[in-house]
Amino acid sequence: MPADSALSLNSSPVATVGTITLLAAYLVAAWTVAAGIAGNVRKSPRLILSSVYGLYAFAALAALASALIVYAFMTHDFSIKYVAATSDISMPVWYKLTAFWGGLDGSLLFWVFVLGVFAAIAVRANQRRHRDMIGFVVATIMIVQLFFLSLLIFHKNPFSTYLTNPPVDGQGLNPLLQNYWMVIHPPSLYIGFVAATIPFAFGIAALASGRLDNSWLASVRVWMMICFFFLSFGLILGGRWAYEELGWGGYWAWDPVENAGLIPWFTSTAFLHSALVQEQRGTMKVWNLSLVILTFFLTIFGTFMTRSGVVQSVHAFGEDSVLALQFIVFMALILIVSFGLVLFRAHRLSKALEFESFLSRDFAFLVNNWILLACAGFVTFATMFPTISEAVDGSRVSVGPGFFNKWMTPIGLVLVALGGVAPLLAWRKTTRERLYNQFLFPVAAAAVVMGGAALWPPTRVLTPIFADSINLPMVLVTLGVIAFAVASIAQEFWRGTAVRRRQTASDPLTSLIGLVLSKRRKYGGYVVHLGVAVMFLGFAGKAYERMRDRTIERPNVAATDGKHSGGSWFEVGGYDFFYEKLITDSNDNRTAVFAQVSIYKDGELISTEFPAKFSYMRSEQPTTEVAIHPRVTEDVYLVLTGYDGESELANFRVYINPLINFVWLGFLLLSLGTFICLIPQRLVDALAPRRRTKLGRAAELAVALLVGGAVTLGLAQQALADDAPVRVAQAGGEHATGMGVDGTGYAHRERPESEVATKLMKELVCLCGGCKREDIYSCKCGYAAGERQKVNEMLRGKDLSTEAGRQQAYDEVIRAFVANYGGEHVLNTPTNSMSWLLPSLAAIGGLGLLLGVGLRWVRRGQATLGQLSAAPAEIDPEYGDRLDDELRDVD
Amino acid sequence: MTSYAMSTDPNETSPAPPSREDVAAAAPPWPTWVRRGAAVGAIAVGWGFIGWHNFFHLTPSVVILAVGWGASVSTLYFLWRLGSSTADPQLSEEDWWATGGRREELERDKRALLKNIREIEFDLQTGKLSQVDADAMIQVARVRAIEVMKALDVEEAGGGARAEIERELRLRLEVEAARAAGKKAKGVVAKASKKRGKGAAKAAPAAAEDRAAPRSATAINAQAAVDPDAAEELDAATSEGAPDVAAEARDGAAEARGSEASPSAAAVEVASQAGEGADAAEGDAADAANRAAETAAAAEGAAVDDATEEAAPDDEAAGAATATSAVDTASSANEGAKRSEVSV
Repeated sequence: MPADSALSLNSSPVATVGTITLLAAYLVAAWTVAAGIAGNVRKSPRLILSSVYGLYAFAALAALASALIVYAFMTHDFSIKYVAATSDISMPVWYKLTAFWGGLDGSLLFWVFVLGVFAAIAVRANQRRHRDMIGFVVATIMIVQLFFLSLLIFHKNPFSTYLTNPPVDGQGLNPLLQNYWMVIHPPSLYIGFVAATIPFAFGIAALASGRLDNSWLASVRVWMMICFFFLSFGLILGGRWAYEELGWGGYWAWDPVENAGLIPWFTSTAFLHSALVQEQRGTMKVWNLSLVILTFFLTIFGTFMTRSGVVQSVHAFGEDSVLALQFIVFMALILIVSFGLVLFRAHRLSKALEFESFLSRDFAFLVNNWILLACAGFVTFATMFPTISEAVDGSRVSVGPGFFNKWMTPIGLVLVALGGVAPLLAWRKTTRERLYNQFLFPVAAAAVVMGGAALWPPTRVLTPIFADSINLPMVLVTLGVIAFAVASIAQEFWRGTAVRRRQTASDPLTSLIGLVLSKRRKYGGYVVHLGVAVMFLGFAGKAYERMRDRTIERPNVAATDGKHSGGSWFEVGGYDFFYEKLITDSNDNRTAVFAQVSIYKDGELISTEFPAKFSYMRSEQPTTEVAIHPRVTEDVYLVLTGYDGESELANFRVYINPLINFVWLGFLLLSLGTFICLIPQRLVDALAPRRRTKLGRAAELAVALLVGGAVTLGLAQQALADDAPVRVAQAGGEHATGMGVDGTGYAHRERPESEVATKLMKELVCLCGGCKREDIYSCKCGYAAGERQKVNEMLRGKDLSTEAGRQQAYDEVIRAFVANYGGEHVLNTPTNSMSWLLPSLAAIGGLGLLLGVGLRWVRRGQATLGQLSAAPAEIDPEYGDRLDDELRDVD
Repeated sequence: MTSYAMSTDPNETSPAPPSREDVAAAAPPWPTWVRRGAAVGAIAVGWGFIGWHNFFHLTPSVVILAVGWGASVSTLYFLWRLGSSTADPQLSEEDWWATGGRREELERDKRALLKNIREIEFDLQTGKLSQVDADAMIQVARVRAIEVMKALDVEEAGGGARAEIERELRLRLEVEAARAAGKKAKGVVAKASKKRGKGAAKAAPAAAEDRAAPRSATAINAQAAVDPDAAEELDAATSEGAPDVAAEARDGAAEARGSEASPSAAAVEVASQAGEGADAAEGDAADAANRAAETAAAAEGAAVDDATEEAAPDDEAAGAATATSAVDTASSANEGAKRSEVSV
C-alpha cells in the first residue's frame, strides 16, 4: 500500500478524521451514481431522490474535508505532509488559506469541494424542472467526483502524515504565490473549470434520457456563462499577477498553464453563441452538445497538462507519470462515452441545418464558432508542439510568445471584427438594401480612426503575421477594427434606445435601462464585445512598450548640470527618475530591500515608488517586487533588478507600458456585460412595476455610479498598492543581489549593440533553467548576460549595412546557437515545417469547408423560406387575436 | 422476541411480507420543519459549544472549526434523508412525474416564438429589415406560434395526471404504429428522396408518424371507454411502464411536430400510407370506436388523397400548401371522431 494512500490511517486526529471523511465521501459517491442511474432507468422517484440527497451529502463531506485541511493549516499541524510542504508558522493567515490550493493534493481537494457546492446548487435549482433526467445529471457529476476522489484517496491524499517525527516547522509556500492576486486567481480558474462540469452533466443526461429538446439548454446556458466569466476572471487575474510578480513588464506569455485556461474559454464562448442559434432555430443540437463535451474535456485536459508534467511551465505542479496515466484513461473514457452517446442519439439529433442568408446573425455566429474552435485547436497544437515534436522525432523545440502572436493576433482581430459585424445583422436574414445604412457609421468610424492614426509614423510599422514573409501594419489594422466594433455597438445602443423611446415614450436614460433589461442577453453580450475590443486596445499598446536598464552607483546625488541628469538621476520615456535611498525591512517571513525612487514628469514630482527584492526565509531564490505608477495612458513600471548593500549601487529596469490599463478596463466591461446577461427575469420583474420620479431615478443612478466607482477604485487601489517599507533599516544591511562580479547588474550588462542583435536576443531563449522561458533580451539573470555577450561578439566585424548582410549575420548566429545547444529548443519560434504547415492547412481547409458547406445550407434555407412564403398558411382569427394579446406582454 | 424460523406446515397461510410502502407508512411521519429544525438546532448547539470552549474569541481556526461542524451536521442530515427517501411514504409517483413534460416544452416553444416575432419587429424598427422581409418572417413565426398554441390547448383539455399518463401511453402506441407504417413507407421515401432531394425524404417518416397519431389515439381511447378489460389493461400498463412511455412518446411527438414545418407532396403521400398502417395495427378496437375512427379516416383519407392529386409532383411549394390544408381537414375529421366517441 503506498505511503500516500488514504487507506493507511495515521496518528493526527485531523488527518484521521479527514481520511475517514474522504473514504465516506467515496462510498456516498458510489451509491449516488448507482441510485441516480437506476432511478432514471427504472423511473423510480425514490431512488432519484436518494441520489439527490447523496449529492448533497457528498457536498457536505467535501466541505468537511476542506474545513479539516484548512484547520490543519491554521493550527500548524505539520504532522500532515501537505501542510508541512506548503506552509510555515510565519505565513499570514490569507496565505495559509492560499496554501490549501497552492499544492497539487490540496488543489484536487479544492476541485472536489467547489464541484460539490456547484453541483448542489445546480441540482437544487433544476431538480423539479428536469425530473426525467436529474438522476443522470447527478450520476454524471458524481462520476467526475469519483475520479478526483480516487486520485485523492489512492494517490494524492492531502491528509497523509509523516511516519516518523514531523518537522517543527513547514517549508512554506512558494514565494511567487505569496501575492494577493494568488489568493483569488487560482480559485477563480478552478471555478471556471468546475462550472464546465455542470453543462456537461446536463448534456450527457439529455443524451442518456433521450430528452433532446431545448429544455436542457436553458439550464446549461447560465452555468456555461458562469464558466466563461470565471475563466475570464481567472485568466485576467493570472495576467495581473504575472505583471506584478514576475517583473518582466508583461501580463501574458502564452505559458502552457495560461493556455490551459484559455482553451476551454474559446469553446465555452463558442457555445454561448451557438446556443442562441439552437434556441432561435432548433438546429445545431449535435454541435452544441459537442461543444459542451469539448469544453468539459478541455478543462480536464488543462488540469492534466498542469498536473502531469507533460509540458514545461512556470507554474505547473511538476512531473507525475502515475497521475498522467490516470488522467489519460479518464479523458479517453470521457470522449468514448460522450461521443458514443451522441452517435447513439444521432438519428434524433440531426436536423438538416439551413440558413436563409449569409447576411444573417445566425451565419455570423457559425463563422464565429468556427474561428473560436480554430483558436482552441491552434493554441492546443502550439502548446503541445514541443511535446509532440519530442515524441515523434526526438527533437526538442520551444514555442515562444512570438509564434503564438503571429497567428493569434490576426485571428483575434477577425473575432473582434465579427463582434462588430454580427450586431448589425438580423436573425435569419438582413435585407440587402439596408446593409449600407447599417454599416455606414461603423465603417466611416474605422476609416477616420485609421486615417488619423496613419499620420503618426509608428502606427505604420509592419509586423509579421502567420509567417515572417507576410507583413502588415498591424497596429493600424487593430485600431481600425476596434473603431469599427465600438462604433457598431454604439450604433446598436443608440438605435435600440431610439426604438424603445418611441415604444414607451420615456426619456433616453429610462429607455436605455429598459432596453438593456428587456434584452439582457443581447445587450449584455454587446457590452462583453465592447470589453473585448477595449482589451485589444490594451494589447495594441504592447507594440510601443519601451524598456531601459540603468545602473546608479550612489543614491541621492544631485544632478551634475543642475537639471535632471547625472548623479542619481536617469531618464526613460519622458520621465525623470531620482534614486533616493536603499531601505531594508524584515519580518518573520521575509527580508525586503526597497529602493526609494521619485518619478518626475515635466519637472513635477508625480510619485515616489519602492521597487524591491524580497528574500523569504524558506526560499533561496529572491523575488522581484515591482513598483507600478499607473497613468491613464500608460504605466510606469519600475523593477529593482540588482543592488549592492554596501555601496548602495542599484540597477533598475524601467518599462513604459502604453495603453495597458485598457486591458483591465476591458475586463471590467466584460464582467459588467456578463452580469447583465446573468440578471434573472425575476429580478427584472420585481424592479419593473415600481414607478419612480425623475429625481429618484437620478439618485439611484448616482448611487449606482458611486458604488461602482468606489468598488472599482478600491480594487484598483488594492491592486496597485505598493508594499511600502514600514521601517527604515540600516542601509547596506543586506548582501548584494542580481549583481555581476564587477558590480554591474546582470540585466544591464551586454545590451544589444545593433538592431540585428536586438532581434536575435528576442529570438533566443534563456536556458539557465531558473527563468520563465524568457528571451535573453529580457531575462535579468547572469546566464542571459553571458548569452548576450556571445551574440554581440559574433556580430562584431560582420557587414550589417545591407539587408542581405543583416540577414546573413542573423542566420549565422542562429545556426551557431542551434549547433551549440544541439537543438532548436534555444529558439523562440520553431522552424520545423510542421509548426506552420498544420495550422495553415487547418485554417485554409476550415475556411473552404465553411464556405462550401455554408453555401449548401444557405441554398437549402432559401428554398424552405421560398416554400413557406409562397404558400402562407391561413391564420385562425381567434388564435390570431390571442396571439396578439400574448405578444402585448412580451417586451 | 421475533422468530425468523420458517413455518413447515404447508397449509399454514403465512401473512404476506409487508411492502416497503407499508413499512414506511407505519413509521411516524416527520414533518419537514421538525427535521430541519433539529439540524439547525444541532448546528447552533455545536457552535455554542465551540464558542464557549474558545472563550468566544473568534479566530480563523475557530471559524473553520464552526464551518466543519456545520458540514458534519449537514452530512448526517443528508445521509439520513438519503436513506429515508428510498422509502418515503409521502412521495407520490404521480405528482413526481406530473411536473414538466410536454406542456412545459410547448410553453417554452411558444415563448421563444413570441420573442422571435418581437425580435423581427425590433430589427425592422432598427433598420435591419425591410417591411416586406419582416412581414414574411413574422407571418412564418405567427403560423408556428399558433400551431404551438393549438397544441397547448389540446394539452389543457386533457388535464390531470392520469389523463397525462393515459395520453402518453397512447402516444407510445401511436409511435409504434407509425414506425410500422414508416417501414412500409420506406420504399416511397427512398423514391421521394431520389426525386425531390434529401429534405423532403427526411420530412416524410416524421410526417407519417404525425398523421398516424390522431387516429390511433382515438381508437385506443375509445377501446378503453367501452371495454372494461381494455381499461384494466390500460391501468396495468400505465402503472408499469408509464414513465418510459411518457419519455419516448414525447420524443416521438416532438420529432413529428418538428418536421411538420416543411411538408411536401411526398410527405403527404407517405402520410396517407402511414395512416393505413396505423389502422391495421388497431384492428381489434371496439366496434363503436372503430366506426368513429373510420369516419375520421375516411374524411382524412379523402382530404389527403385530394391533396396528393392536386399537388404537382415536382412542385414542392404547391405540395406544402396542399399538405397544410390536408392537415386542417384531417384535424376537423378527428374532432368529429372524438364527438362520436363521446356519444358511444
